[in-house]
Amino acid sequence: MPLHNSSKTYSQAALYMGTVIHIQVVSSSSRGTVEQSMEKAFASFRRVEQVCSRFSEQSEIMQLTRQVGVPVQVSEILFETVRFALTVAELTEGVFDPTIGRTLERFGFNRHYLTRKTITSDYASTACSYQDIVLDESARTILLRQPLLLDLSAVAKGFAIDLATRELGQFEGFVIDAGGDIFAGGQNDRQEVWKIGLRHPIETNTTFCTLRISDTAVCTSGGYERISPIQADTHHIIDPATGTSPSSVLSCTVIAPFAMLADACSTAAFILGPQAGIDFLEQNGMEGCIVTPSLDIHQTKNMKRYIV
Amino acid sequence: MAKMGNKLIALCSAAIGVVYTAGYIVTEPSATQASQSVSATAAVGQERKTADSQPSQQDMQGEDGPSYQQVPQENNEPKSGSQTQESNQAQASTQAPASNQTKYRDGTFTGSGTNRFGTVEVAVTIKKGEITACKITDCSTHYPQDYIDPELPNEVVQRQSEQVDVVSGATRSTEDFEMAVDEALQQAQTHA
Repeated sequence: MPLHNSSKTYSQAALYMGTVIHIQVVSSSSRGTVEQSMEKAFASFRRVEQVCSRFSEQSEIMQLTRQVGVPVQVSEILFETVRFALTVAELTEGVFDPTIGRTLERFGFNRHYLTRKTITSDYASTACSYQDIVLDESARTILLRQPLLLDLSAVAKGFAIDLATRELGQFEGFVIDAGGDIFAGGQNDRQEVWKIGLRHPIETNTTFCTLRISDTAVCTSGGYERISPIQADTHHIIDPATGTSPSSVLSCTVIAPFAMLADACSTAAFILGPQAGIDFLEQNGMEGCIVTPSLDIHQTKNMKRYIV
Repeated sequence: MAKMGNKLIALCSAAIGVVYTAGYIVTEPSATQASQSVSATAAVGQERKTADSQPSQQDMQGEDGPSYQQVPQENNEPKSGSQTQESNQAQASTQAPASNQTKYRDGTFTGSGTNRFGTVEVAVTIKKGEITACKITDCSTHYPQDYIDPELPNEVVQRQSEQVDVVSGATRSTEDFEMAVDEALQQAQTHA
């Protein structure tokens, strides 16, 4: 017997940050209330995209890119996403590195997803790393020590999800699905904990695992969606050490309390590889699993707690 | 170590808190506030300063200012002219092309298209010449509903006895919507 007979499921989808953002809300509140909150949730994506998009010349991050050698005062969204990216970069000693933008651009990841306009950096690129970024926490400035292209795609979407969850927490249940990065809150329309399937990296119309999730983020990094138009064996995740995509992992999923955390760490663990990636997750208090090309699944010790 | 895990969680939590505390407020597009400070684009322009900027201005204006709101403009004029400044500022310090994008008319434009899943329809909203939203208005086929497949010919097999609510996977591209978006943007470019 359902507790809330008048609970309805509301569903909307929009394109932001290069992917499909799908929001579902389960609530007995009025349609107007739900839609207003969903609008605010989508606005989080719009706002983060405006700040962090590498594909729009006028975004704040691209404007930052054009000011080398000086501390630049930035918005809180930009400061915090860069700060988090640098934290994970330091933690992984550069395996995760947001200065990978130029390499991504060269591999053809350089088009705005709506206008399809190409953006190209015209500076001569030299070797750069996350150590070329200097943050001043009290002044809220970012300094780029040399020309470089920041790519926040492993952090920004997660952050937008986390901001959006704040708008939906009042409802009985909700799911934010940002192109496969998920935050599920409360319960689904059957008053059950949300069931999240993990996409099979090869038979992508199917799932290989089902998780029970509530008030938690699930983010997956995979090499099977966005492939480089320039080089066939290269996708969106690039190992800074080799300049190419790792070949030891097909898919990496992380479960964590925040989407920004799960997002960044799924990329980091992907690059670290099946053993080191799982160790990394366990050492930092997260659960997750990695699927290898031979379709072996490596998972953290307590991942099974989430598995149906 | 649990310590680092907690630090990461604390950082995420603080980041969200900071953005909210700084006044990240968004209202519905239909709500028009007369006493608004700045729009998002202008805000970014105002914040874009070099080394001699005053840190204390950070919280007073721009996207993080307490009065920041997404304001729908009834006309095409920038609120304070700072959008123009921003464009000039950006162009002055870069080799980027002078015209940053195609001119789009303001408004909401719909487009439909087909993809491997069927037909989709989008509604693209343009404000002050920039795309601010791209809603999927025909939701029925925006991603595959086939979550169950009992015949998987490899080791990664788990029979699904229950349907899942949603699927986590690598970031889906928007190519399934390209045709629909193109049609909408086409209309936004041509004159009535």
